Amino acid sequence: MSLEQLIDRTVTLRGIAVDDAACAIVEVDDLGRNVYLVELASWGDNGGKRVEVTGTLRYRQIGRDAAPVAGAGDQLAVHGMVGKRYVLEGATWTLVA
Amino acid sequence: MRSQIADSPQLFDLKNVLASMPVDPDPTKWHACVFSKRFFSRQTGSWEQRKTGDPTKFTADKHGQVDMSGDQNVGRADADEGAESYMINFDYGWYDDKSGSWLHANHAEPNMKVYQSTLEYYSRPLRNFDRQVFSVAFARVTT
Repeated sequence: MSLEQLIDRTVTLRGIAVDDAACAIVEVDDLGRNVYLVELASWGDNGGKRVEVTGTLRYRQIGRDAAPVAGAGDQLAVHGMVGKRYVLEGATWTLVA
Repeated sequence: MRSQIADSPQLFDLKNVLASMPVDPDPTKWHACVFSKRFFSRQTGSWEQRKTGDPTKFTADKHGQVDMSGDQNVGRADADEGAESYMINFDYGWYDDKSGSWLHANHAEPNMKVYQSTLEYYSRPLRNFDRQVFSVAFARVTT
């Protein structure tokens, strides 16, 4: 089953804990996709470890889109990330072996 | 000012020091602010090329200075999300000299959260960035 089929459902996923500038993320096993735990800033010392996370899966923008700035001359750069992401809301997590 | 810079063992052979000083010659009217920027080194090329960093770009010279003139605030291509997805493009941190900590934020607008962190935490490994520079800016003292 793909993540797309699980949107708006409570899911439990396993993968590797990684820190992104937006928040803690999980590189989900076998799917090649990342899920963003927007309520957790960082994994701290648990970065790189295997984790199991549970929460409500959404697919949405995080923050704002960064504006395309290459060759933008004197325009101010807009800060953010481009594209929607899979987000886990209300997430809880545990370390797994 | 020129002679003070020339006499300083830390400053005399750095580039652009004099040009970076405030116009006002009275240093009691300045306050030096230290800030940091984290970003990704490869900012040109195709989305495919921009998945990985460029070891030749934004590296320090023999004096520790980094030429930022090519920085266009372009984020790293997000290989996990597919073509035309890009990661958060940069992160600024501001040094609070009163507390010895670094102020940075969560990249969310609205719902921005400001964090007060150690330099170690602010500089922690993140998949978005492979470069970090430190800079000094001058603010006018008004009180």
